[in-house]
Amino acid sequence: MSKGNLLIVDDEPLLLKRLKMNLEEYVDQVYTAADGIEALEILKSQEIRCVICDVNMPRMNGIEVIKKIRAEKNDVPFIFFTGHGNQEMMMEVAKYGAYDFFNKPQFDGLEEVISHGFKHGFHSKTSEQGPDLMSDYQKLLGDLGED
Amino acid sequence: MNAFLFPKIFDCMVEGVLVIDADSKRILFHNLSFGRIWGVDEELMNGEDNSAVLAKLLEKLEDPEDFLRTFENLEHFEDELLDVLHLKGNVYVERRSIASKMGPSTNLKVSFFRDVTEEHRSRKILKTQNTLLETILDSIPYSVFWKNLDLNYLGCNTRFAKNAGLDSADKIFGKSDYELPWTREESDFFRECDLKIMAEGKALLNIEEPQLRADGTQTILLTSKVPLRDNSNSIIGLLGIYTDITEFKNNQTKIQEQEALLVSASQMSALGEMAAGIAHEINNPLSIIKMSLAYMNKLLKRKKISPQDFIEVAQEIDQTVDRISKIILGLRNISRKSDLEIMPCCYRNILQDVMSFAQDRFRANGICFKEIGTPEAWDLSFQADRIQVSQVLVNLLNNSFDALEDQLNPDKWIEIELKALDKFITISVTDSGLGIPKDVRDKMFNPFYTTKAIGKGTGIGLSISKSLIENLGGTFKYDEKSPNTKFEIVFKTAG
Repeated sequence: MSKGNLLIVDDEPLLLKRLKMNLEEYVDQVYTAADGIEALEILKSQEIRCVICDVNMPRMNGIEVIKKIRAEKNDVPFIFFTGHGNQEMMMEVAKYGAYDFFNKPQFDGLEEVISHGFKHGFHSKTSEQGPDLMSDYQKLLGDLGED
Repeated sequence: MNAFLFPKIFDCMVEGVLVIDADSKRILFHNLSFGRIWGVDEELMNGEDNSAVLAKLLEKLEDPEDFLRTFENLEHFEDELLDVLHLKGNVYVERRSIASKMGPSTNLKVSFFRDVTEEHRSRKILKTQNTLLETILDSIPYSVFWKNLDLNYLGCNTRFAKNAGLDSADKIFGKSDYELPWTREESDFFRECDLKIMAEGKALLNIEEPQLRADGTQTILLTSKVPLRDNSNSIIGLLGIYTDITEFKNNQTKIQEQEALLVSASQMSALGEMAAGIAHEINNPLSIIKMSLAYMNKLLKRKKISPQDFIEVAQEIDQTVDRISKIILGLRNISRKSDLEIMPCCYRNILQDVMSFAQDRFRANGICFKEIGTPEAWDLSFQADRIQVSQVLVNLLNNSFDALEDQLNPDKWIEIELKALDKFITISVTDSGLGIPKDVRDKMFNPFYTTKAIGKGTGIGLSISKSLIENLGGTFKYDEKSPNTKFEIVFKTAG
């Protein structure tokens, strides 16, 4: 797995602690944040390769975090935790290019997704243009339209 | 005795006297009162022309046959006849006749006359009044009856007679309840009430009682009974009046059933509204358990686990399982469908039920939750149904949550406050919203009125909450004076 820093954002301290312990061997460093505001501070001050983020959180929720970070032209991959399948919310974060979703409490394959996210994040950091999910999506729609 | 004295004595009588020889139809004797009563000139009466007198008498009668009929009906010695003659000019005369003899061969008809015009008139008026009373009794939409001291019926109106299976109202006279279609138990109960009324001399109003009718229908009556008194104020019986409330009672039962359905529907909807929150509440601790187990697995695989690590993780899992249990217990306490169970309950327990699965939802959405009230107040108990009060609080918290979710103000809070004052406990739920607009306030307790988005609210939460609390003897109201959105529930304390 490509090494880099991982940020986990969740308002559940015990879950944050265990996720950190389980994942820290795969990455350089695990940062944790209890809400969106803390997360934004870390994203601004540290070089983060991938973010695992809860949606419902006090002070600032996951949707706000990805909105704000994209506004700053930061394309870091976001993997969202959802406590319950909320279609509307998934559509909303998908607009901002969420990388993947996990439904709590199912975490099977989390390490793998993080590892992909890291590659993606690495790619987006090194490539000048970076992947633009929206334009990819529009290109796909365009291709379909030509048939 | 002086023979002249007899006619004088007869002339002093108020009654008219007429003596006729039955065979010759000759008038043998009359007194002064006779001429006066019949309105026949005394001179004519005293004249010799017997047939002229008879003709005059017959002319006076509305029906001349009446006069002669007497002679036909009085065939034998000492036969008697009492009848009333109708004279022209609306005069009524009572006639008492007797067949008598004078010597062996002379048959006499002796008649005594009395002017009964006045009596006849008052009897007629009385009869008209009675008919009017009967009409009134039969027109009012109630069944009416009256009984004597022995609890036997003296009278009733037609409606009552019909209920009792009688052809007409007069057939009720003298009957007791046991002779009527009602069951033995019903009759016993009716009579028990009757006795009580007459013993105490006080009316019994609005008795709900069953009555089996002659047509086989079982009805429910709303009956009122009053003692009947005579002029000297002694009780001589009782008067009863009732109306059939069977349909009303049935409708009431239906309404109650529908209300119960509505209540359970609102419970379900309140739970539905919370379902998302509950999933979140449970998924988080489940995630912790998963992660703790994954961590332990990892350590085991690498044979790096120490007893210390094991104990720590096991404790963590144990606590987290407790957390889930609490959520489920709270959920069960609130959703359990049960009959009203009024018992002393304390605020602390109710709050535990409610907060077990609302707390994390508030925190996760940035809503600060505050409880205000001294620990002593928390332990005070009041008479209520714990589950229903919890349901009302869940409903209020749901409303606050929905309102705050859309609010831009970052300072979001919900406060539950407990105040014990005198003999009252006030539970209030206040949120950081700035109150409810007047037009909404006017309608918010109406069932199915909602300001929430389609599919989000059913509009019955507040109306059900209000009726639940009122059923428990408390009051439920919106506080208009508070600068924030505030609802208050007030109960009397136990004891």
